[in-house]
Amino acid sequence: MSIRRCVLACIALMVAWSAHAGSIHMRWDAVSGATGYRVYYGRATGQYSDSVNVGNTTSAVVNGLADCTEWHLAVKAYNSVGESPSFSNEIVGWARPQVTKPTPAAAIQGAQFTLDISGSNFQSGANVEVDNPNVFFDSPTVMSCNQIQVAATIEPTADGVRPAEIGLYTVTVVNPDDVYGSKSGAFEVQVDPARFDLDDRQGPSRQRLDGRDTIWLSHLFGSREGEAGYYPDSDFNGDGWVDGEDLAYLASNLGRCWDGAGWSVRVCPETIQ
Amino acid sequence: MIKRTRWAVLLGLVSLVAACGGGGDGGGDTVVTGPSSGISASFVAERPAPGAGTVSMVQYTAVGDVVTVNLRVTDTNGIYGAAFDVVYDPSRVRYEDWASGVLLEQGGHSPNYTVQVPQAGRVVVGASRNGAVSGVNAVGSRVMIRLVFRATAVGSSQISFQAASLIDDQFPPEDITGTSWFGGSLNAIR
Repeated sequence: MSIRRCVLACIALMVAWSAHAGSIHMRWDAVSGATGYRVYYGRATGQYSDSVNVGNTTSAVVNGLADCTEWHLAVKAYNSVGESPSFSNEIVGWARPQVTKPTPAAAIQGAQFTLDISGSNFQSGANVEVDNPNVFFDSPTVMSCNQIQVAATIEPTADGVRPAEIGLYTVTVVNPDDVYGSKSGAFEVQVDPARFDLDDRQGPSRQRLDGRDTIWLSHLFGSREGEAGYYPDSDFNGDGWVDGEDLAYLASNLGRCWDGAGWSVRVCPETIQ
Repeated sequence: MIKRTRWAVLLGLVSLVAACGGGGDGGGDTVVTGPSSGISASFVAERPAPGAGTVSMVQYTAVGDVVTVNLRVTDTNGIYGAAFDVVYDPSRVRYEDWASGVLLEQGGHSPNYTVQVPQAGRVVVGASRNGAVSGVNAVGSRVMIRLVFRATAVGSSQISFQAASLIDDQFPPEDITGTSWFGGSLNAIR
């Protein structure tokens, strides 16, 4: 009996922190002779106010944990004789961060702006990541456990370099203990319409989208990044190709003039309205 | 108002008009059908017999109130494409459709045609070869593109070019200088 109890006490507890906000996902090594496990948790070390019987498994999700506070968790094994007398090692931490919403939720290529991310369980020192290599979130400041502010830049901010690829991207907040939470499709990189005016030389096509711009793009049609003839300023959507998707941006705005923020017929000179 | 855009290359479309081997005016028929308005329309070219270095409109077909106009280039070399607007009186004429010509399709090439109607009374066109290919020569008169119009009221309406350029095959593209552009008038009677 004593041997068995000794074995049951030797649990190496690990934490994966990969469940929902307000929850902690934990796992541990199996114990020989155990027929089940009970997870204990509370807000102070060694003082577990609650427990849950998770059965004969070596991982569990503890739900319903209050946000933005420290939780202490440990595990005991049990069998037909009873529960082990001692706890496993204790893990300590917050529930996994949850990203609710970045504001703004979208920005155009080349933009530089301040991004606010709302959510929960953001710890001081948390970092923010996004899965677009041209989008940079720098100098994160945790304003509260529910808000982080970052300086956002969608590179490049100048012409002559392939722009950031447009689309929806995942925003991830990583706490200092490497526990992270993500929200997919949370942030959108949008095409910068100011780039459409390819032939911006003096003349009828200046600040107007017309056949000259489509011909400019047609010269480069089918070219790919890394190949001779690739002209990044014509790769509007930043996917590394000058193709029909890029031409579509021109086509859908053909005959319109630049109004400072977008393309509109209303601002075209009367002679070409 | 965006009327229509087609990208022959993007969509892999066969031209709406089958190429006509060797013919100066190229192309087959564009058919625009609709209820008869009782109007009979025709197109009168400003320059029926254009000289070298011109782009001109000439009637291709006239069926009831629908007129198809050929935009043809005459005796010009090194053409990569053309950029132009076509303007007309929207109270009398409505743009209906376009069809490819033969000029830019020489050698089995699939050009890009971008045709939009940003507002009533104006068609904006970009027609060109695509990719790093050389320009083509218009020997005699060759149809670059066709535009289809419908007369919506009795009377005469000018159909003219604006902001028009033939473009060479350099990059960045440059205008082919010395090109003259001629439209015409669409005349409708009941």
